[in-house]
Amino acid sequence: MRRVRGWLLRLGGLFGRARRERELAAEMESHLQMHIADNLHAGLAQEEARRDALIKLGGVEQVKTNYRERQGLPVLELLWQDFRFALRLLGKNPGFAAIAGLTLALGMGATTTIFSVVNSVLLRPLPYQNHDRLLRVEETHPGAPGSGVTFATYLDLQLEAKTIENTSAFREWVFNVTGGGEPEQVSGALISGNFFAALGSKPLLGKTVRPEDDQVGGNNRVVVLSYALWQSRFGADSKILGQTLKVNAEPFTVIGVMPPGFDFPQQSEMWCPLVPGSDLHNNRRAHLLTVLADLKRGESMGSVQGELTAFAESVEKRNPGVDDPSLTVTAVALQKSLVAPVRPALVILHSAVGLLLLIACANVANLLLARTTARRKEIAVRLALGASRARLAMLLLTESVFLSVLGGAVGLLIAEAGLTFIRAQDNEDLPSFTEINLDWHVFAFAFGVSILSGLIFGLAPARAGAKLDLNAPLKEGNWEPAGASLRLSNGTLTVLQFGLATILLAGAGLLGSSLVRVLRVNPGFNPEHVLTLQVFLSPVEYPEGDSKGALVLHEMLERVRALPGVRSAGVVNALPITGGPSTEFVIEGRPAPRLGDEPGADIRVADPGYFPAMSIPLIAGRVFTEHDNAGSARVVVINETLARKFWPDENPVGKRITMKDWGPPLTGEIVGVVGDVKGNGLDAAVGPMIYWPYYQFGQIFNHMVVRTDGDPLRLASAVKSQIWSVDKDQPVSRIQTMDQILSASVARRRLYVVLLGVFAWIALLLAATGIYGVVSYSVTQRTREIGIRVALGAERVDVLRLILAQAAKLALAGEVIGFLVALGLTRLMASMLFGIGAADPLTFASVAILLTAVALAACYIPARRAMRVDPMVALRYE
Amino acid sequence: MGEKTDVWQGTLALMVLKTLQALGPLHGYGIARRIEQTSGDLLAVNYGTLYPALLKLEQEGYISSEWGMSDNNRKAKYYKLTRAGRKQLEREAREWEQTTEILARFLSPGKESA
Repeated sequence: MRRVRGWLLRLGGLFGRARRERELAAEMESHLQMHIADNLHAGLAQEEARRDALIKLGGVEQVKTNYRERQGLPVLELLWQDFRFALRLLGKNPGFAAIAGLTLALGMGATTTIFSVVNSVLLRPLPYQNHDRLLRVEETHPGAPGSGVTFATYLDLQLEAKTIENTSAFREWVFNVTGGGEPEQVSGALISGNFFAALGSKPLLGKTVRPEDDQVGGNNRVVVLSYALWQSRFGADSKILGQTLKVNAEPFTVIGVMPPGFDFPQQSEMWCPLVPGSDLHNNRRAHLLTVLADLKRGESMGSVQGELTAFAESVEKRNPGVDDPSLTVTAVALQKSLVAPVRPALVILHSAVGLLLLIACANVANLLLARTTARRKEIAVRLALGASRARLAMLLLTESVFLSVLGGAVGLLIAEAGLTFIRAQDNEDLPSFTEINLDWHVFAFAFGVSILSGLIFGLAPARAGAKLDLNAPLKEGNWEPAGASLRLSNGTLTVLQFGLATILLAGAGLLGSSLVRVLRVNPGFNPEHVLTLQVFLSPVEYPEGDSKGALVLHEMLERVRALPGVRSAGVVNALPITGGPSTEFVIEGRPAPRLGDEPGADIRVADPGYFPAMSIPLIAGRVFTEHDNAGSARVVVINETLARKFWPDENPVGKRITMKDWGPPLTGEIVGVVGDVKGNGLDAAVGPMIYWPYYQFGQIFNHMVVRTDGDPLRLASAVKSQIWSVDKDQPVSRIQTMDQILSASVARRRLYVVLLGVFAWIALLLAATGIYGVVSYSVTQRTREIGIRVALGAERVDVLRLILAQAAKLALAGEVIGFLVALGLTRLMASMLFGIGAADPLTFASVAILLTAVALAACYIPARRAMRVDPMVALRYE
Repeated sequence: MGEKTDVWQGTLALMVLKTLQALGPLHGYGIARRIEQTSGDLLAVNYGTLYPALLKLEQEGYISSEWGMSDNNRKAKYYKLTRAGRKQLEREAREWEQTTEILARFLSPGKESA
C-alpha cells in the first residue's frame, strides 16, 4: 500500500515541478548555511568552511538530479521530455511536420472513409432473420426486360418448391395519399401476406400484414406505415391505429407502424397487401414481383438452383405454346443481389485507398529515413555523451509515434468530412438498409498501421544509430547510416510509390475520360429550360387504358400551357434517361418469329405536346395530334433506330406494328419517325422505341414536361397550382429540371471520378515528395563525387544529367511496374468505362508523361544544388 | 579524522527514522550530523543521498515535513515522524536486530561449536 501511495505521489510529482524545485533549492541553501556556520564555529576560515560544506553535500546539481528522479516517475518524465523535444524539433521544421502529418492524415482519413462505406454496404449482414439464408429468385426471358418473377411463377414456387421456404413477394409501388394536408405521393410496396413474417420484422405499433390478408375477399384494405411517414405526415399520432386513410382514393385502415430504420424495399414508406386479380397476374411474361425465400436448412445453393431449373423446364410442358421455352429461373443471395450494382466500384475504391495508405506510410518512412541522415551528428553527439542505445531509440520513436498520432487526429477529421460528403451524394445508389457510420474498427486499423510503420521506420534510424561508428560523423566525413541496405530501401520505396501513383492515375484517367465522353453524348432532346413533374394518377379513379385520366391530364396541360413563361408542355409515361417499360413487338405482314425470339422495344406513351416540348426532331411523317384519340384509329410513332433496323430501305410510315405483353396486344399504324432519344441513360445504347398516343392509351404514371422561358424551377409552384385547380387531390412529386435529371444520371460516375481522382492526385503528390527526398539526400551524399567530376572537367549540364537520370530511372522503373499492374486492374473496371478501352494508349501515355515530368520537376531543386557544387569546397569538405 | 565507512544501503532510512524518534522534529542537516555523531564519527553520511531518501520516506508517509525556523534563526525544512513512521521504525528495528543477531552467531563460530 505504501508503495502504491508512493507511486501515486510520484505521478502527482510530474506536476507543480517549478515550486518543488525552488523548495529543494531553499532546503539545500539552508543546509549549506548551517553547515558553514558550524564549520566557522569549529574554527575554519570562511573559504575553507564553505568548501568543506560543498564537498560534503556532494555537488548540488547531482543532489538535485537524484532528488528529481525520486520526485517524479523518471520514465514518464523522459517520455514527456522526448515529447517536448520532438514537438520543438517538428516546430523548427514545420515543412517536414506538415508533409509527414498530412500524408498520414490523408492516408488514414481516406482509408477509414472508404472502408467504412464498403463495410456498411458489402460486409454488414442484413438486419433480417435468417439473413445468411435469404435468397432472391429471379426469372428472365430473353428479350423481355427485367429479372422480376411473374405472379404465376411466384404462386407455383410457393406451393411446389422443396429446397426453399418462407417464399414471399413484393412489388414496389407508389401510393397517392390524400385527405388532410397536401396530397402526397408515397413510395412503398405491395407485399404478400407473409412478407413481414418471412423477414422476421416486428412492428413498433399495432401489427403487420398477416398471411391471410392477401387473399381475395380477405382483409385487403389495410396499410402498415413506416416510422418516417408516421412522423412526417401524421405527427407521430399515437392514435393512428384503426384510422382510415385514403390511399389511391380508396379507404385503407392503418394497422401498424414499423420501427425506425425499416424501409425495405428501396426506402419504402408504406406497405399494403398484394392481392391477385389483375390480368398481369396470369401473364408469365410480366416480370413484376421481387420474390424472396429462405434457403431450407441442410440445402445448398446448388440444390436450389437444380430445383429451379427443373421448374423452369416444366413450365413450358405444362402450357405448351403459351409459356416460353427459354424461361430461366435463378436464385442469388439477397445481400449479393442488393449490392451487385455498386460492388465493382466499391472494390476498386477499396483497393485504391489501400494503395494510398501504403504510399502514405512508405512516404513517411522515407521522410523519417532521410531525416535521420540529417541528424547523424546529433545522434553521434548523444551517443558520445553517454546516451544508451535504448534511450536513443526511445527518443526517435517518440517522434515518429507522435507524428502518427497527430496524423491520426487530423485523419479522423478528414474521415468525418469524407463520410459527410458521401452521405450527401444521392443515396439511391447505395442499398437502403445501410446507414454509413464511421467505422471505428477500421480507423483503429488504419491508425495501427500508421503507428506500426512509424515504429518500424522510426526504429530504422535508431538501428542505424546503433551501428554508428562514433568518430566518423563527428569528424564531418562521409557517413553511411546503415550501409547500402538503407539506401536500397529508399530507392525501392520511391519505385513503389511511382508504381502506385501510375495505377491510380491510369484508373482515374480512364474513368475521367469516360465521364467526359458520357457528358458529350447527344441525348436526342434539348434538356435546357425543361421542368418535369411526376403526376401519378390514382389507378382506382383512372384505370389504366381508360380515357377519363387522359381527359383530366389534357385539362391540366391546357391550363399549364396558358401560364406566362411556359412555351410548351407535354406528358409522357417515363422521362428520357431514367428508363421505362418495354415489350416485344411484331410487324404485320412479316413471318412471325419463334416464341421468345421477338424483337423488343421501349414503350413510351406521349401526348402531342411532348415532342415539341422536348425538342425531339421529326424525321418522317407526323407526330400525334389531338385527333389521335379514343375515337380514332390506333397510331404509333417510332424512333429512328427502329425504322433503320426494320425498314432499312423503305419508308416505315403506313406500316402496322403490334405491341405484345404490355396489357392486351395492340396494333397501330406507324404515322411518323422521330429522332433517337437516350431512354435508359446517357451511357446506354439506344434501342428501338415505340411511342403510343396518350389519348388512346391512358397511363397512371405520368411525367409532365414543361419548356419555359427562364429558370424552370421558378414556375414550379404556378404549375402545381394549375394542376390542383383541376384536381385538388392530385399529388405532384419529383419536381426537377431535365438538367438535374441528366446530372443525377451521371452522379455515381462523377462521384467515382472525383474520389479516384483525389486519390490519384494525392498519390502523385506523395510520389513527388518521396522522390524529392531521395534525390536530395543522394545529392548530399555525392557532393564529393560531384566535386571531383567537376574538377575533372564535367560541365554543369553533365551534372544536371547525372542527377536527373537517377530520378528518371526511379520514376520509369515505377511507371513500368505500375503499367503492368494497371493493365490487369483496369480490365476489372471495364463495365464502368464508356467509349474508351481498358488499355487506352493515350491515357497511359499521358500518365507516363505527367509522372515523368513531375519526377523531374521534383528533382530540379536538388539537381540545381548539385550543379552549383564548387569543386574546391566539395573536396575540402572531407 | 581517519577512515570512515559510507552508510550501508538500506540502513539510511532506519537511521533517519530512529533519529527523528529520538530528537523529534529536525532539519536535514541536523539529521545528517546526528547520524554521524551517533556513529562516533565512524560513518560519513553522503548528504546528497540524504535528501532523496527523505523524499522517499515522505512519499511513503513515514515522515512529514514543514518549514520552520532553526535555533540560529535560519529558515529550514523540518521533518517529523508520523504514526505510520513510528510503526515502521519498530518493525525495521526488530528486523534489523534479528539480522544482526543471526549474523553475530555466524561470525562467532567458536562459541557455537563449543
